[in-house]
Amino acid sequence: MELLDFFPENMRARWRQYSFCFNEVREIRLRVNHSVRVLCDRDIKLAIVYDERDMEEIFRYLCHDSVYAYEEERKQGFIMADGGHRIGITGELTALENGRYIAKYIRYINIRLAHEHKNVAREIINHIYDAKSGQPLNTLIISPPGLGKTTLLRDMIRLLSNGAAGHEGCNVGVVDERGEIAGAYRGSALLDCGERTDIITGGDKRQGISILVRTFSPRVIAMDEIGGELDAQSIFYAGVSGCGVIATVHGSTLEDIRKKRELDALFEQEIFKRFILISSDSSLSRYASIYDERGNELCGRKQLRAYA
Amino acid sequence: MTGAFGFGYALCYEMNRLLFHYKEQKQMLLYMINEISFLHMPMQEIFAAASVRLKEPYQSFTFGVSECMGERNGRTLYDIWSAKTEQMQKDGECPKAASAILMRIGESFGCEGDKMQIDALRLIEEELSEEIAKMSRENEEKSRLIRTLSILAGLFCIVLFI
Repeated sequence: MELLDFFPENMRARWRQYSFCFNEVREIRLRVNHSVRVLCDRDIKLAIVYDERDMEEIFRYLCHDSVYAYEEERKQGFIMADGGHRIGITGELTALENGRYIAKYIRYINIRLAHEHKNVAREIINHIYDAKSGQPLNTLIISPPGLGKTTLLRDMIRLLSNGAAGHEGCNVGVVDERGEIAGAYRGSALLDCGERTDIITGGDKRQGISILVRTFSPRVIAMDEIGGELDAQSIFYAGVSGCGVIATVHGSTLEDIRKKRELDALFEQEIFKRFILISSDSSLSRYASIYDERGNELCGRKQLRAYA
Repeated sequence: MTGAFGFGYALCYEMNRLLFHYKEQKQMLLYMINEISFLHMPMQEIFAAASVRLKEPYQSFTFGVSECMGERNGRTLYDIWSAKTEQMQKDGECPKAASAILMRIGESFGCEGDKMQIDALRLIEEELSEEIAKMSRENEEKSRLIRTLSILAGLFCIVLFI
């Protein structure tokens, strides 16, 4: 895939002037009447400016000329592209029924490219297995946006599914509302989530967990970005059904998460036995620290790296 | 009698051909409408699925459009659809009137919501239904006329030989 693939033919000539390595690009930021910016290891400003009409045309092209088919995603502020790339869209919103909103005029587009980094979780996977029973423990990954919590989650799913650190692989169910974990496009996982993994794309966590528990007997259920009370209830349901849970949440510290009232019940019941806190330094290297349910650090800070 | 039959055949051939195209186009539109209503499928997938059910030349047409869209080479659905329609007409696979309807279908794509898209397609589908009904009636009338002409021509021949 190339960056060009995100743009209609009449806009491709200007992109051909640049030679970006697709695997190094993390984001393409399109802002109406402002220069396009490409985020690699640094933020690069391009001599390309799109106006209102261009933005609409790009959006239409990204929707494969079937805007109606992306209505549900559009209400959530993003669409998924082939390859599991998540495209954030916003601009002027208009109210719909049920208190929901949809972008009426699309003026800002953020193309976040999904890259697969295998084995980033290799050094920490051992800590999420129970030492006695050898079963995976309920784990919460905490990270500020953009530090790779979904990448880490995906790799943990893969390792749990295939088996790692001397443990047998197990059935893993993934509730992937936005298709970001598995890079799901039209229901098919394009990124490696392991050989014993069943993935539900779309819908919501509650519905997804219910389907997985009733019909797919997963040993572990994984989900991205929990936050609301309904999410907490869903995790409870998975827990009482005998499934382990691995989830991610936005935050910078353990205290941040404990302050989230919606998740209070999960902490009171000590549902999560492991917390993985992702942080970064000034050189953008990422680290993971692992804590138990009482907040005790289990091992030193580990650098997150992809291994071949 | 043979002459009368020949005349009748020539008269009806074009009409039947057009009728076939209209019926296939209607079938295609109904397929699109149903897929959008129930599964919110994007056009590329609808065309791929429709290609299995439609007759030629619409089978190749929808399959070709779906393939082109899958290439993601920067062309919009309207560009692909128009080019394929023109090609089909150029190759003599589609009468001019049927090509005009196909072009209109191409112009109706790109609506923002399910309902809007369905309504846009439904409008053309209804027009096609009316046209099909009208042509079927005309076809029936012309068949009757040809049958009568054939009988008269036969009688004329008999009288002539006697």
